[in-house]
Amino acid sequence: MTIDNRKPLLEVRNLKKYFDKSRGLFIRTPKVLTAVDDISFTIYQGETFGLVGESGCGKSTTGRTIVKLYEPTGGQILFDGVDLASINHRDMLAYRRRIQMIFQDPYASLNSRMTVTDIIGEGIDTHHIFKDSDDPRMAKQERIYELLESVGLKKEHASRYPHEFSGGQRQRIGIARALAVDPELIICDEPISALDVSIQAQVVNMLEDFQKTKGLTYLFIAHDLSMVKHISDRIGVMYIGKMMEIATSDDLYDKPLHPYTKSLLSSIPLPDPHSEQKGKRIILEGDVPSPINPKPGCRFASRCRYSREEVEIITVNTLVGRVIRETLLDPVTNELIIKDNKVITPEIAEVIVGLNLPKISLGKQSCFTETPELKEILTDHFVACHFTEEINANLLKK
Amino acid sequence: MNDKYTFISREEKLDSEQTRKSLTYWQDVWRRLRKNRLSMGGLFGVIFILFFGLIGPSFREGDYSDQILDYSNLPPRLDIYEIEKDRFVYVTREYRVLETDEKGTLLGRIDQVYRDIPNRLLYFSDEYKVSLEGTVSGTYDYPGLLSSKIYYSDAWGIGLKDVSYPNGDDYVEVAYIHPDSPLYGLLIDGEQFDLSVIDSLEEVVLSSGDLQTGLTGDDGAEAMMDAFDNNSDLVEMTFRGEILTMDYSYGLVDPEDRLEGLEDVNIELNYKGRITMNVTDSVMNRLYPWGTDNLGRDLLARVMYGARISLFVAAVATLVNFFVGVLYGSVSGYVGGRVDNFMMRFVDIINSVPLTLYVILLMVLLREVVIDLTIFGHYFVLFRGQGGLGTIIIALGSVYWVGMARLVRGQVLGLKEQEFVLAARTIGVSNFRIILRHLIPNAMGPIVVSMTMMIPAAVFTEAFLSFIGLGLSAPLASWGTLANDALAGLVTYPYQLFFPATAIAITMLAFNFLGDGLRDALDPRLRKG
Ligand SMILES: Nc1ncnc2c1ncn2[C@@H]1O[C@H](COP(=O)(O)OP(=O)(O)OP(=O)(O)O)[C@@H](O)[C@H]1O
Ligand code: SF4
Ligand SMILES: [Mg+2]
Repeated sequence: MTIDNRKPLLEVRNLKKYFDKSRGLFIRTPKVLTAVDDISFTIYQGETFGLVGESGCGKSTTGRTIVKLYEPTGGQILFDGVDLASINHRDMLAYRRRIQMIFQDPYASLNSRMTVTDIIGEGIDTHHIFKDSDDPRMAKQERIYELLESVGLKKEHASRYPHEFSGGQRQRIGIARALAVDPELIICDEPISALDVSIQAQVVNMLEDFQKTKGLTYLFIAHDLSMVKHISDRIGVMYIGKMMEIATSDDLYDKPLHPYTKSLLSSIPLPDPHSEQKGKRIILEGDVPSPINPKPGCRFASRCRYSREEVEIITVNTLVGRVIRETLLDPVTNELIIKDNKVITPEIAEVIVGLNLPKISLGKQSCFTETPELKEILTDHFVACHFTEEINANLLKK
Repeated sequence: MNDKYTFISREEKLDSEQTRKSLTYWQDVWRRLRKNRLSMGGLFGVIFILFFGLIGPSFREGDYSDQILDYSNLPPRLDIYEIEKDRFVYVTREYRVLETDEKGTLLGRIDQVYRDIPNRLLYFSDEYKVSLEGTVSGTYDYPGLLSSKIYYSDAWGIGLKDVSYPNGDDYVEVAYIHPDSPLYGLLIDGEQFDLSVIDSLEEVVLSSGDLQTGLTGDDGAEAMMDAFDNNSDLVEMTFRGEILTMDYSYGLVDPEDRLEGLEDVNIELNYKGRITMNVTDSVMNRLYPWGTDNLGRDLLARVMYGARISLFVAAVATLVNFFVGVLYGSVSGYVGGRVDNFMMRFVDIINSVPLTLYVILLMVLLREVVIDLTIFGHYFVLFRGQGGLGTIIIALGSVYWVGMARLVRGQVLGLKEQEFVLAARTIGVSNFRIILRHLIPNAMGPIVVSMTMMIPAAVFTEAFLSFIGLGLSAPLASWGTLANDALAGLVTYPYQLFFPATAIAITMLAFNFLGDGLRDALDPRLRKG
């Protein structure tokens, strides 16, 4: 597919999903968990868009908000030109047939009190798919058999209960359930991460086959870059509710522009021993910041090795209000003065000045105060970092 | 490659993954439950109570509210006396004499028995046996009288009234025959006719005048004379609890008084004397295997009807739990947020009012309320505020779903985040169907367990409220009412408490054992200890 003739199927614009974590009935301390905070991306018809990020970064929330399992806090979800975020429950029903989801946990995603027939048939019933056929019941049963066979199960399995199947078989049932309503877009929320490695490949191949034969579009969620690279056309990298970088999978692998992506890629053990020697492993330091009531600035700042600058003129004025990027201990008593990533208060600044250090690491001002926008740096390559050009000077020159 | 090995086909491989026999969730639960002896006992107990209450009463002849006062307070075992050959009586604690057959089937009451309760003497049974054989009956002739009608008789007294003389004069006299004293005599027109007493059992004859036919009259007369000789002029004797005074001429000092209210009855004399009797046999009460209560109502039938009431209460508790508790809880849990908060605070409020207080208030409120209905001239009472089942049902119904609502809400809160529910929502299944098809079936285990614990609690609450007089009232028979009724005669008639109390205990145990077993079977992880 060339860049020009591709047609957007799903456009997510400034999507926000906040969870209210306030406690107390009368006195509420406002606590907002920004699971998805203002992310935008486009998925084109027939492609596989991979969404990666560490656990808890909001990948599932993104997927679930797109199918309106969660009511979005803000933004638009344009599916085939229609904003799903603003249509009501009733109108949404028609789109539920067109967007389906495959879940991560093959054990939790099937109702153990229903037979396979009932599980797969639920969508057929809900959308009255065979209401015009002569014998809707037969047609439904035939369809279920057909689906079972297409996912590599057998007719005889139709009357069984989920607990009689292995994890891989269950995941196939989950896929059959999603396929039963003939969707166009399937959101695969880590569909293979709970499976054995040997079965993972089977399931991925099956999904790819369906994509070819049925012209499906996938939003493929995974927490592991190596897994998505294989099947995705383009990949989005998320970090704590924010989209950090979007690129075609080749671009993302060959020239990751965002510091977070770089560190992610360096943590993948590469199959080729020679290239492993080449790639310098970047170990991520620092705590993962909480998504609750996040401070302004880049979410990755506390762990980003590019967001520090060495300051040599150490005065109270230059220190107060800045974020420190190293942990300082009192050289005499070994007592903690200030921890990494903390804002320097006037009192602490006095103490630091008293230490007479030659230089000190401070966070770059803009990283800690301004949230970087996702900008298209190269064609089809989006990055959210204030210093993309600086950091990638070599790469971008080529 | 070693040709001993061949690759198996894909189909075979899939088949071999299937090793365990296919069991649905509930089949599996049943399999585990069957292994638990105690809870199987509980299950049978529950089934037994069901049959006992539902079809038991159709095996009883009378209705549970039929009163037969003659048969009041009968125990399940009868101590019977054989007063004659093949003639048995049972004497109640109130000295009523009931005729029975040899096996203990009650035949009816024998009225003509005199009871001297203070002295624990019963003439015609127990300690004395007096048998009537119909020697004298009807009107009999007396020379010089046109007719002398005997107007009253029972085992102790003969009264004569309206004695008409040929010359037209009326004269009234009374005499008493008392087998205890034994002063037998008949005084007519100032003339005395002795009824001789043959001490041991032979026969009674008039010993004076032309009617004298027996030979032992002198002995009888002598006995009487002796009696008077030992005293002064006046002799006192007891008759029907009253003391009568007789003078030397064997006439009543004040005969007029004794005549009032007496009826015309033919005389029948059949005295044989007196003997002391012992209990002949102890037999089952065939008519009332569990005895009767103080109004002569069949206790077995009443306990059976009590079971019906308890089952009804159980059914109401179940329905309320299911339709209110489960739905309320699942809606609250599923919708969540503010709605959930509000719904649960409401539950808290309901939960904080003690049930007893609630029932008392309701009873006060509903006391006057009677909802009736006339359809085609038939009159039905749909609801009665006092003494009926209505108040208890309203009280239980408005309170007993609370625990279930909480439980289900908790379950649903956990379940609704599960991926299979999300999958159903992604498909577009309606919320109602999600609750019905996905959430409730998956919460069914805890629901069933809680239900089996809830039912006995409701049954017990009804029994308790009826026991303290807040629930049902007569003639409705709930186990609580029965126990309360039995309390008055607890020492004398302990069986009246024993049966309803046992029924309550069995029901409680059966449901609790079943509930325990179910909990273990539904979720082996919850097993205690
Ligand atoms: N229903 C919810 N209510 C409140 N907070 C939620 C809810 N769902 C997710 N979150 C929070 O939102 C954040 C993002 O969660 P999400 O499940 O989207 O992460 P994820 O990227 O899918 O992680 P994983 O790889 O572990 O699946 C987490 O901090 C999580 O605690
Ligand atoms: S904006 Fe700053 S902190 Fe964020 S990735 Fe870029 S350099 Fe690092
Ligand atoms: Mg997830």
